[in-house]
Amino acid sequence: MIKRYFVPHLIQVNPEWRHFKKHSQDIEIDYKSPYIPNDYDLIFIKKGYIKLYCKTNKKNEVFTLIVGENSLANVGGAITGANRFSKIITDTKAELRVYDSYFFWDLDFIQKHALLIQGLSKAIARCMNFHIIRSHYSCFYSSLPQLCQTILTISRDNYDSPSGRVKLITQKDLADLSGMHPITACNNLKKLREAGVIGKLTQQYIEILDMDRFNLIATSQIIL
Amino acid sequence: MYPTSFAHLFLRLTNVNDKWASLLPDFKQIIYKKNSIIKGVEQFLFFLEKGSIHTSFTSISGTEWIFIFQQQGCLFNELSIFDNSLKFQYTTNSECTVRQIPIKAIQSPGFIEKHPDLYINFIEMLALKESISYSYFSDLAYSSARSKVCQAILALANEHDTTVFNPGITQSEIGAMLGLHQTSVARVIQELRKEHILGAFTKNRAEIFDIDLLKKISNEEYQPQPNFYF
Repeated sequence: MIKRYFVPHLIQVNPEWRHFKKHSQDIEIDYKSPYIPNDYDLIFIKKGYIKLYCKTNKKNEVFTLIVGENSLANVGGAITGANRFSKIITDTKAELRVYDSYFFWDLDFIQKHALLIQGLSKAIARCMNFHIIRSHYSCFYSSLPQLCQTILTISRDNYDSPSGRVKLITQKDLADLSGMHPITACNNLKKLREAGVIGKLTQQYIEILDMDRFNLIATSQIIL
Repeated sequence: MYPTSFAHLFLRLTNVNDKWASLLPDFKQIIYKKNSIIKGVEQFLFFLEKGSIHTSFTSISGTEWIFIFQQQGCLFNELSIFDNSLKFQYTTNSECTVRQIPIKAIQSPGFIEKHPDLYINFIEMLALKESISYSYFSDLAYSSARSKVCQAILALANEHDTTVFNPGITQSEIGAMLGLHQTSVARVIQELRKEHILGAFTKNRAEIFDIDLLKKISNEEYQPQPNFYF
């Protein structure tokens, strides 16, 4: 049996941004007070983790991404000026640094901060990777592999740092992150449990009883 | 740059990185015949000088997904240089002229200091493609086949900024982008024609008669049938 803890999609991706404080303000949020970002806000997570809810053409709000410490959250949206986050929440407390991304078009700034700028491209590419994998799964795979893939993406076994773990993931969250209806996610978890592939599912971790079968289901090589 | 007021589904990009043209003579030029496959590699960024390519990747189960079509004036292979795990490949749809830019050259601080405007353009292109990938996930994931096809037709109309245009893309290619079988795409198009929403829809000619209704259908949400309650 493997116990896999839930972790953010992005964590420690942009440590080089930690000491860059210009054009920014630091804010703290807690579970009672979501942050509503502006179009050109670029958000860096100093401490804790945040959950990003996005606007879509179909639904007003969908839980899309979890971003942890020392990572930029929304580079793509901030650069295009098309912020798609309707709100940012955290389960406990988080410290954010919010930059006004207009400085990005200042050629002087770019020339002086090559490492920061390379970090921006890395953060966009990592996000794009998640979107592409999810899009591919939603287009070409049935809901069960989609859900397994989401679980693999946001969980790690032997995760040493309890401070990097996500403290609250519900079945509805798993459904949102997989792009499916909560009822579909619930049906699929039941299937996995009845087949002896998974055990206990809490808000912090999932027990995977048969990792080999889980991986095969996630890649659609076996069907339950 | 394309309008980015919100995430958009673009099926094709053209001249997004024209600014890079002045730099190209420094880099190796390769000519590919139609239907050649260029593998995604970590060491090079590519610039498409002439022709058209499509980006795709194939999963373990063998399904190929076409992510996007690109025409002249575009950089490609940007994802492989950051993370080559997805194994993208690029297929030429016509004879193509490609410049091969070593990644070491553009990731050096010296390059950014010398060409800040090009690096801005590179990041803007990344952000645009991220927006497209987000659109696939956020909009298509919740859509029925009918709604997916309508979104694709609207994306093409948006690109041409008119309701009568030359799509330049086959129904089977639209299917490969949306995760639909060619016959499903053909069935939806036939339905839309019967409902007088569409006129002709071939590779060379598309006519939209009722764009408002097309938009309405594209926003219909897919609802699964519940068989278990919690």
